Amino acid sequence: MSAVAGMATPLPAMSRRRWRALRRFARHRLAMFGVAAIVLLVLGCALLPQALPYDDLHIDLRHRFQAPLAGPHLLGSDPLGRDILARLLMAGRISLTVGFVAMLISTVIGVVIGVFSGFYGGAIGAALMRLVDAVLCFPSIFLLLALAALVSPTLPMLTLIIALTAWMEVARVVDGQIRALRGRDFVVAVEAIGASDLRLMFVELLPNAIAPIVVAATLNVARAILMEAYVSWLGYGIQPPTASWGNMLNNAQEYLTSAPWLALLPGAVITLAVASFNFVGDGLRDALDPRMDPHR
Amino acid sequence: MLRFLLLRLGQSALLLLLVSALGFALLHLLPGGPLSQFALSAGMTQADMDRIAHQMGLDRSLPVQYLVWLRHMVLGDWGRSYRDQQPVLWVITSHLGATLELMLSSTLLAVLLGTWVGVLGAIKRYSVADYLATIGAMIALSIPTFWFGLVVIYIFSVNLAWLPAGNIATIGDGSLLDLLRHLIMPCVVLALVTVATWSRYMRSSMLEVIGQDYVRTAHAKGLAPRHVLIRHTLRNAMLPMITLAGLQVPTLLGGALVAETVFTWPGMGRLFLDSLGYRDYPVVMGLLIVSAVLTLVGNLLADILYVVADPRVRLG
Amino acid sequence: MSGAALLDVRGLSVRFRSDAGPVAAVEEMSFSIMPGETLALVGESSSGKSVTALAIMRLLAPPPSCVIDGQVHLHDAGRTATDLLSLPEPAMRRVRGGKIAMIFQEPMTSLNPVTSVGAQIAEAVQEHAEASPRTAWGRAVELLDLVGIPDARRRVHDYPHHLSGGMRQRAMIAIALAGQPRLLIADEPTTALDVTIQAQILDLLRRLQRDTGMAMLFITHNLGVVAEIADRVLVMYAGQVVEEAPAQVLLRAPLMPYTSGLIRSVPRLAAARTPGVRLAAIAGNIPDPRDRSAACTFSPRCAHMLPEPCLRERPPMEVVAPAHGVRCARWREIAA
Repeated sequence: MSAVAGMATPLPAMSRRRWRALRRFARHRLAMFGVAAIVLLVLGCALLPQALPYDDLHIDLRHRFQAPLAGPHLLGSDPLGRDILARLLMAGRISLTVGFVAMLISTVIGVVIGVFSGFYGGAIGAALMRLVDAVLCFPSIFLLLALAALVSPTLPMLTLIIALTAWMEVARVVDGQIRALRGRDFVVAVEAIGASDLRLMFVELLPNAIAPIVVAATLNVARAILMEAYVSWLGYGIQPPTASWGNMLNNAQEYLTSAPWLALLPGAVITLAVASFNFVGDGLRDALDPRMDPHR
Repeated sequence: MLRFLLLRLGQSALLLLLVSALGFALLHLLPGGPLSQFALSAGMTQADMDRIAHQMGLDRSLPVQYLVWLRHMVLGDWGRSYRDQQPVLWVITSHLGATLELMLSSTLLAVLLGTWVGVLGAIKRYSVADYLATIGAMIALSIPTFWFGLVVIYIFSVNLAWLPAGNIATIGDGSLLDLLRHLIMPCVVLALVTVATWSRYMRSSMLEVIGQDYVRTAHAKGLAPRHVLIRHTLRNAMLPMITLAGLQVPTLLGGALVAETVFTWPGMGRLFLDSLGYRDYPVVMGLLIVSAVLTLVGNLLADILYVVADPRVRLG
Repeated sequence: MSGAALLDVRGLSVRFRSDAGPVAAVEEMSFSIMPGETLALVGESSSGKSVTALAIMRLLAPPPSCVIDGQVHLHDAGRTATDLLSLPEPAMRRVRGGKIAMIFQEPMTSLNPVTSVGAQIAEAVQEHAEASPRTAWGRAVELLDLVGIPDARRRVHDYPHHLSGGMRQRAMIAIALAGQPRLLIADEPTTALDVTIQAQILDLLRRLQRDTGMAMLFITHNLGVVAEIADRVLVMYAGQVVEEAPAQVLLRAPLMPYTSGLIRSVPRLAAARTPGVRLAAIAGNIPDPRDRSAACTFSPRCAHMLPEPCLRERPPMEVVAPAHGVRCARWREIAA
């Protein structure tokens, strides 16, 4: 199977393998739905606001608390009369950006730590993995909130601390992969001709561990979007008047009886975005996993 | 068995030490530094802080500070709450019960429901129900817990008025029925994520066991499918789930924080948020440590349970 | 032998569903097993021998993944014959582990790792007899003793990982005996064991047969084992029976080229000592089950193949002598 083909000479068979993997991914309908949803969300948040009559900050006191489809605001308006659709789209820019950038940062941290720990093994590896275990003992939300309360709530800071609570899983995955690949023939061969450690780590080993990293990274975006939502809803994340999907839910509970759409709409969008990334991540995992299920 | 136990205890102790070091590092970000945890109140002047700093040895080297701090923590002196001067440990333990009630009840619900869904998914593999269950699980993992809570409150409290919208009990009525009515919604909301994860892992564990030779032997003995399922398949498929359960503690605690906030449940999660809002750092620190300890205890218990359940792991 | 057969298989066919369409694993198998006799089912891997056994026990997947045709009549003393393939499932469960028991190839993985062997035997006892748990446990100890496990009273509490491969296979046999079977199907029970243990297990099986009078369907690819234990032999190739004969007749004077090829390919010590003598293997590979052309399935590998009649059609089973059948179009010429 493709795993065996990949053992002795990992890269040459890649393009054939990648094509087969792509076909499997395409057959995975949920993943395709996820990709479509993500593309729509990204394009919508980036381009649509220009086309709307109202922008997210415009206060329309004549149409406060308007229900969706009951007036000039397509998806309704909030207590200050701001257009919900416009706010959702602008908030989307923030939340999606935070999700994506946090994923990038956490992936870099996780990969670096994982590669070093997996490559050197022994005491260094054990120490690093124990460090990962220790950080994982704290619930992420607890850590996130504690850090958020201590630093200034700017967008870059928030992204950074979300990343700081998300790198551990990536580090573990990378550590496992590198450890497994460490003793393979192709590594030993390059080592024997005197390659430096760094070259071995990042040129030989890392490219062969890409698949699980991509899966973990995709799932990390989903997680980061959720974390931003939690933190902003609790008031420690993105601060008003800048909208994020999370902080749009700030006061939703108060108005649950009178204006339920204030709570229902942002939450539904968050669920859609997070689910889409989860579907894509799951589809990638199935597509890139050499252990195939014959009845799929 | 004893050796295994000691080994695990040793590992946990080591992790606890690492956790404490991380906590100590975190404290350095606090205004007033790490030992301000033991200072009397937040509204002190700089001179007060300097005096206390000297008293507590803040001017000594970092490792010494750590040891001083560690000694306080181990001896149970976790400082006093900035808000009401109560000992931090006491404040935390008085909120522990409510959180445990929520966590344990939702875990029970999640395990029962998740096992049922996972087993069904494995038996009726690739059927419509299985496909729906898989999608359902993935969506459930994508729903923000607090939003789910809001939706549930909207349906059952606002619209149908069947269940109370928050708190652990109605004032003046502490009956079992009242407690249960208050528990249902937060319990279900908290269980959502665990059910999704549990059912997926249960399904794949079941599928792996179903393909094993000994299940075929059980069928060849002429046993009824029900017996094969419970005594042979499920019995073995549950083993990796025990380990999973132990790993769920941090997720549960985080979820509990959110659920407690939505349902104004008087537990540790709410306490954490309230204390954070008041900048009551001693309590915040204490809660962080407690959460890590609970995680370690949960893992330890899961490991012990695993050794009891799987005779292959026992020594001899 | 006179008298009615214990098991009568007529036209058994097993088809699996695959991506490329239905695949025939077993085609039109017919044979009988007499009470008390040992019938060996010989063939290479993928010849369909295990599938035949699983089909009789109805342990294969239900349709549409797997479709079974034909009839399998079980003659129980005094009662009329029942067709196992058309029995409702609850009735079949009574037969499974009861009248017909089966033991498998891999003793290391065929026992539930988290239950004691005693509990697993007692479970089988309770399923097929009205027995209290205490009685069943006692019977489990007796059975362990019967299969030659020393210190049975203590070992009955052991878990499978406490037992060696040979002991686990004995425990499996004990489980199989729990329902007092009239037929024991043994699917390569000694293949995964050391040669010395193999001999012990074969001895055990022969002894048990003698004492209980049960018949045995012994599946193997090892002709040495066949020589030791079989009364009659069925040779299978590509899902069909290609030769059927009493053991001594088959081993001394086989009529089907495949059978002679199998016998020749058994390594001999004398030949190993003679310089220049090579190991005689049958050239080629087993045909792909998806590709069943109209020619004799063995023809690509047969040294005696001639386009006429071998490639023209599939030969039917011919009766050569009482109890000796062969599926070869040219057996007369080859034997001469």
